[in-house]
Order: sequence, then C-alpha cells, then structure tokens
Amino acid sequence: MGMTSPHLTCLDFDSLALASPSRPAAGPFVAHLDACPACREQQKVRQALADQFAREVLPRSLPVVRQRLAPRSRWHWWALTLSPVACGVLLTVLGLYKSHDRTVSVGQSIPGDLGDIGIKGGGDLLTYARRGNKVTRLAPGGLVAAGDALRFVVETGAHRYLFIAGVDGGGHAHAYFPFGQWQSVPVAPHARFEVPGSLVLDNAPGPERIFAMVSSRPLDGDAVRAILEELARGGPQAIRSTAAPGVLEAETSSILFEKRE
Amino acid sequence: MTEDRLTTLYKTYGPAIYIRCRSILSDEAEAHDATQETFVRVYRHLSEVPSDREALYWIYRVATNYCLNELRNRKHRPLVHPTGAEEAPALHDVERRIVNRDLAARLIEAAHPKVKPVAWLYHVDGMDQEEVARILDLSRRTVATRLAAFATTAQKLLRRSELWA
Repeated sequence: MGMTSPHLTCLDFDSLALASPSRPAAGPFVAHLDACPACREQQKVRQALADQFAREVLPRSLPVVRQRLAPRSRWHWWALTLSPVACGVLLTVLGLYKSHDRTVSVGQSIPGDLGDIGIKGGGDLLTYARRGNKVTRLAPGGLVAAGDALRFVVETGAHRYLFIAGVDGGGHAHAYFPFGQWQSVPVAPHARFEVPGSLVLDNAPGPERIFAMVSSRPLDGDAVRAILEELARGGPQAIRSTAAPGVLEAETSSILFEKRE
Repeated sequence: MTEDRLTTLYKTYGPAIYIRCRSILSDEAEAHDATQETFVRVYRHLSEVPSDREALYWIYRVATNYCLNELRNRKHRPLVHPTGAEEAPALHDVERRIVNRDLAARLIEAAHPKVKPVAWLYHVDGMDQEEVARILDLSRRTVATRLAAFATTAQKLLRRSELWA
C-alpha cells in the first residue's frame, strides 16, 4: 500500500491479480482486501476490465503484436505462386489510385445501417520495390520486374483497421495482410504503418491490382473476399478499370501492375 | 521465445497493461492501441525479469510514459481560467487538495514532461516515493525534487484558477 493512501495501490492490485499457487501473493494485500470494502469494490472493477481484455482486446490485438514481434530477416519473402523468376519480363506501374469507396458494385445490395460509419481521411498506399540492394518508391509509369520485392506503407489517417488484398489476371483474389487471412488487422491511427513482410512479383499473366483498405471497424472478410473474387472473374479489363472494388466502410487505395513484354 | 511463450506472456500481463492504460486514457479505443504498443515495448523485459513485481515496474514505466504522451497529444480545454489575484495557500494545503485525483490529473497535464510520470504515480496512483523511484528507475532524491517542482507549479495554477472559489 502506498504511503499516500490507506488503500491498496494499482500496483498492489496487479500483484494480487498475478497471484497463483506458483506465484504466492503478498499476505498484507490479501489481509487488507478482506478488511476493506472499498478495495474489494475496486477489485471488482479491475476484474471486469481484465475480463474485457480477455474477451475483446486479446483476440484482436494478439495477431498484431505477434506480427510486430516476429523475428525477421532483412527481407521476409513470400511468393504469390511457386513460379520461377523470369528475367526480362517487365511490369509497369500503371496507376496509384485513392478513392472514398462509397459506391456499390452492380449486383451488390446496400448494407442496412450506414448511419454511424465515419469515413475520414487516410488510406494512402505507398509502395516500394527492391531489386538487389536498390530500393525505390514506385510512382505511376514506373517499371518493376518479376522477382522484385514490394513493400507497402499505409497512412492510416483516422482509421484503426487495415486489410490488404489483391486480384490478378489469372482470375484469383489473394489476402496479403494479414497473409492468407480474410480479415482486418488493428493498426494505430494517424500513423504510417509499414506492412511487415514483402510481396514478390511473379510472372503470372495479365494485370494485377493490390488494394489497401483502411476502416474504422473490422471489415467483413467473407464479404470482401466475395467482392474481390467477383472482380477477378471479370478478367483483365475489369481489374484495369476498377480502382475501388466496392467495399463499403473502407477508404481504399490501390496500385495496378501491368506486364509489358 | 516461441510463439506460445509470447501468447502466454500477453495473456498474463496484458490485463495489467490494459487496466493501466484505461486508467490514464479513459478512452477504450485509445487504451486498446496503447496496450498493444506497451506490450511490444516491454516484451523483451518481461521475458527476463525475475519476478512479477519487476515485470509490473517495467509495465508501469512504459505504459505511464506512453499514455501521458498520448494525453498531451490530445486537444483539451484549458485547465485554468485566470481570475483576480488571490493569496496563495501554503504548499501543504496544495498537497491536501491534490488528494482529489481528478484535480491532480488535470494539474499534471500542465506539468513538465519529466515531472508528469512522477506526479501521476505519486498523486494519482497513490504510490510512495520509494516505489515511484523503482518504477521509473530514478533516485529517490530525484523523485522528491520533481514532486516539489510539481507542487510549486500546481500552487501557481490553483492560485489563478476558479477552483479557489
């Protein structure tokens, strides 16, 4: 207990909460708690917050924490396909697009409640390419090659969730961040978020577009997947002409790659 | 450290971090972000400390500093409104008024960045100077000096504030 207070301090409560048969609690804390209704009440409040952490905060934040603490080599590779690198095939960065995605794709129904969705600034996607030891920031018209490793930085603005996915000319949709998982990841708002890992360009035919979607709430992963798969099935022209895939509740930026022989 | 170890540490200490961040920031979403950030920063230390108490010292040090910085970054209304000059009370009277936690938190917003965590742990969390020193890895003399500086600042603010009425 603190010298400035006759009650348990927050540090005392936390020590008590960590107590277990293998971590015996300090006797005075337990004795005080037995004798002090005010501290017992405070303990209930703290337990409710601890329960909230386990129920809500832990499941959402653990993947982010794990990503940030994962051991990394200088470049963490993951490949779109198992295709070997083909030299001499260049891809052009055709455009970097940003949109406030309030449109609805043909055939999509409008969700029932849009009243409390706030779409604010943010979602700018910065893309960097590494070839050998050289790293360059990509701009429209820039050239990249199969085998180049792309890294992404997203300006989150006022948003707290990020999801990066893409579609390719082969008719497929892919979840890139979190890799292989169709769900949004919590990120800090008002920050430049460097997406862990890099994306290696392969020599798959046709255009490829990558979308960065920031939102105030987690997106419905299944719904996003359905939208992107439909877009991919629309073929190369649909991919070229669709800067925003029609994901409501998100600010979307995208980058389009086009193969050039 | 394996992934399982990370999960175990986060489950063990995450509640304490979250409660700490909520107590300073009040805002649930901000506390969520602060919890993630704090755990990432203290993770290495949590793996190495010999006891839960030592782990909590690290947590309190990082969480308190991080959250107080976040408070500073928030826009907030002015703490005090100048009124007519009044005679300043003695410092010990200031100490008694600072027993009011909410008042203390508001006064701390105006304090020097080095003073803020000391004042928060002492006046808001009710810890003694020894424990404040251990958490922040300062000498007890430094803690006492910074508390004295805070009391002087608080006295000046209270003298100008409507709260004297």
